Amino acid sequence: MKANLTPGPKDGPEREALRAFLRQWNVGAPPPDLEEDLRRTFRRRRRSVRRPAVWLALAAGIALVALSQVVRTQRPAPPARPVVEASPLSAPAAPPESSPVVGRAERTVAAAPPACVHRARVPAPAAHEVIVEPGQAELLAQLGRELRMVQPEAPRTTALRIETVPSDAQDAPIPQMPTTDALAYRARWETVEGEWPFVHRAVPGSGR
Amino acid sequence: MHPPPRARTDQELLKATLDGDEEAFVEIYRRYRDRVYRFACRMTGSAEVARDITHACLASLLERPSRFDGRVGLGTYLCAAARNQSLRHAGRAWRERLVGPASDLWPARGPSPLEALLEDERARIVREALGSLAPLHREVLILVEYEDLDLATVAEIVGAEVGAVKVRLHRARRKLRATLEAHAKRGAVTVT
Repeated sequence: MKANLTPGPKDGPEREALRAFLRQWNVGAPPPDLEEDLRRTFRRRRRSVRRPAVWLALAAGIALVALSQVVRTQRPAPPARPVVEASPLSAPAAPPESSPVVGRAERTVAAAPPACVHRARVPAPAAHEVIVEPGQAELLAQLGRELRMVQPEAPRTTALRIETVPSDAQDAPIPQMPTTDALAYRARWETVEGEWPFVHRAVPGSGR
Repeated sequence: MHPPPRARTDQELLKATLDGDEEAFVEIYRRYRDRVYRFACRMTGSAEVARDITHACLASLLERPSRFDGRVGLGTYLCAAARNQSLRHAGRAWRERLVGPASDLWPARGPSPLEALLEDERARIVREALGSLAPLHREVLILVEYEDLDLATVAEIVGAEVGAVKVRLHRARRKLRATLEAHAKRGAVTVT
């Protein structure tokens, strides 16, 4: 750094005269109360920085408490009784466990959760089941595989569950549908006639 | 015997300041108060305004610390902040034609009342001569001639190229010389 106010070897007399002239204006030191002013500014600033932090922590705590209250009040109450899903296909006199037909009545919630458990588990909706003759199971399985291959991400498709009935299984009588149920069944399916199956493809090798 | 404690760098002081260390902040102030205050005094011609500018520059380190990115030294940054504030004030003063009171800038320190009076008179002439310069010329002249800063640092403070600083300095000196010659013709000052 060059000391500009001190004469240099290259400085001419004009530059020296100019400096001598400028040197006649001396400015004193800053007033001593300026330091105390700055200290006060610093403390005020530090307080203003701390205050939002305290309020933020307080607000976060209150929000957490309120959120926990809301969550507690919105918990579903445990069901008092087992829920049985009604189905138009289910017969009043459902066959016993030995029946080759998978009855919907079997998908009854096993038991109500004990009273001491606060959080009741809501049963997931069961997949629709198709009741078929034993000989059609293989065809349906093949169709399912093909559908899954063609439309792997088709919405609302569930995996087929094929239950193979042993050949020596005892034939169980197919439950008779009451007349009222049959009418309701027909009326229901007439509304969706032509919509199912939504993909109609011939199964290769089956001649269909 | 323990060695003297190492003086903290500007960056360390600033970090400690932002962490809440009041003494670090005061140390920054003590380190640069003279340069900032004197520069503001000579730029604005008022001790009161220079005091406010010095306070504002130091307080800006607390209010907006991100503005100091460390590309230049802290002294340079504070001088640039003082320069901006001074130019703002100079614009207002130019519009309002305000001239600060002379007595608050240089209290009489001469050995005798007559000498003190003469000293005050000479200082007033210098102050008026500097005040007659354009702010862009005045600032480079003050930074170079009073604060002993090199041209590169001055260029950083005023935000211009070194070549532009040289040109401004040359014009400031030429204008100052013309002012002094005018004073000499009136017999107020003697220029050798």
